[in-house]
Amino acid sequence: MTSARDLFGAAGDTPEPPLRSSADVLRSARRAARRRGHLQALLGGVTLAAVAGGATMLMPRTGPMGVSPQPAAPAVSSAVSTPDAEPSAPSATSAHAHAGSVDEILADAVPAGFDAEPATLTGTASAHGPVSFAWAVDVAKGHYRELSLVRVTKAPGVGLLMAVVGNDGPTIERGTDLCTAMPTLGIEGATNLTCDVVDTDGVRVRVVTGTAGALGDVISAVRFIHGGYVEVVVSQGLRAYRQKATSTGAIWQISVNPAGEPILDALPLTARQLAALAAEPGLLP
Amino acid sequence: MAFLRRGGRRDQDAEFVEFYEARAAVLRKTAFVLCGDWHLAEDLTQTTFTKLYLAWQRLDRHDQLDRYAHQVLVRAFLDEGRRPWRREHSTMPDSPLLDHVVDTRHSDERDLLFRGLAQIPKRRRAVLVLRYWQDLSVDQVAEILECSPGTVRSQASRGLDDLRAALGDSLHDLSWGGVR
Repeated sequence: MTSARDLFGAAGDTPEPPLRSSADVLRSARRAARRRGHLQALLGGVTLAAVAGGATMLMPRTGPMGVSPQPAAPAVSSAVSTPDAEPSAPSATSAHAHAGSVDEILADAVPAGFDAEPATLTGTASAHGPVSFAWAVDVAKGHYRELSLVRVTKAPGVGLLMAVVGNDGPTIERGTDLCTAMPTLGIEGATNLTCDVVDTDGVRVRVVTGTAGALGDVISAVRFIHGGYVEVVVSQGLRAYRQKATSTGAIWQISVNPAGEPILDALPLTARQLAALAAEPGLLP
Repeated sequence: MAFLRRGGRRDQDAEFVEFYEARAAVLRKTAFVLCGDWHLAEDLTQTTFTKLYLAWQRLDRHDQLDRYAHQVLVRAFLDEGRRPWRREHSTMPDSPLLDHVVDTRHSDERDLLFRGLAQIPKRRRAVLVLRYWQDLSVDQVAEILECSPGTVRSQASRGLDDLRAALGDSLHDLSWGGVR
């Protein structure tokens, strides 16, 4: 008779690839710590400004990602309700038809000094102009996600700005902590560092910052709407997607820098800029 | 092995490196047994050590680091499983760290194990790996998974049932030794 311990003992002789160096791991960890410290300081400053006088502008300060600070909205508690005035998630057909406009909004949001070009799911520049991608997350429930991707380049680095419109979001009730609602949405694989909810012109946006190894720093800004969400994600590196057939059905796989292109030196947008972009009404039909 | 807090970032970094060099290989191997994928195992290990570094100042009991590291690793693994999109190849193409494992040896039992584990729900798989690969006690597994010892016992029992079912005739006489 084979015992469970005997069986698991067989795993012990599995050959292993070399271990990542401690210097490499320490470098990544330090970077994550610096990133968290900068963002906590920044978001703390936003809260302070709001408490002190209801101000909606921040005093100028150097952004953590090397980008000039922009007017900011005060941070609010993450326990909020979805306002009744929030729009509803569009149908998959409507979202897909509107995707060209989303590409343009993304490209326009890329600051001077960076180039933007529509990208395919696999991370290459689109040869046919703006292009978007939709897939059914859950056919039975009619859940879909619509993706628009823009390559952001500043030689030699390449990063990504992406918008996702979906109707597979959680139900947001009054008092729901937005930071617990799909916290890894769009940044799967990243180590989340901070989560805050900011108010941009009356629109509440959940902002998650993270770091993701070879992908570099990432920020996700999600606006939860009735029955879904609008999200924009910016990353220092390039994420690519592909579908792979398995014995149990197709699954999505994510690749980082599939062509080996270097990542950007810094994120092209700050957390507040990304939050403002997520609140942009034009992202919805 | 003692990891004593000495204060200061330089000391913290030295402690961190010391811990990484002592325990990273074991943690990554555990990650691999959990997920069966060296790429993902490397990711999970990096995630674990990044979170450890961020929490280092708050970790008063550095003699408990290993258990805490396992807790972070298993949570990262379970979180990864809940994501609708699966991750692949987070390292750069042609990375010397990966893709160079050529197993010229053959292990029927090992192949069976990984094939069977892949078919078991992730939480039960985590219980089996912690119990039988890490050889942790029921109480230790319960602490890592933040559940009761009774839950660990029942999950281990069901996990072995799953494993037996997954392996079919290949290993029909898998014993229950150590579940209780």
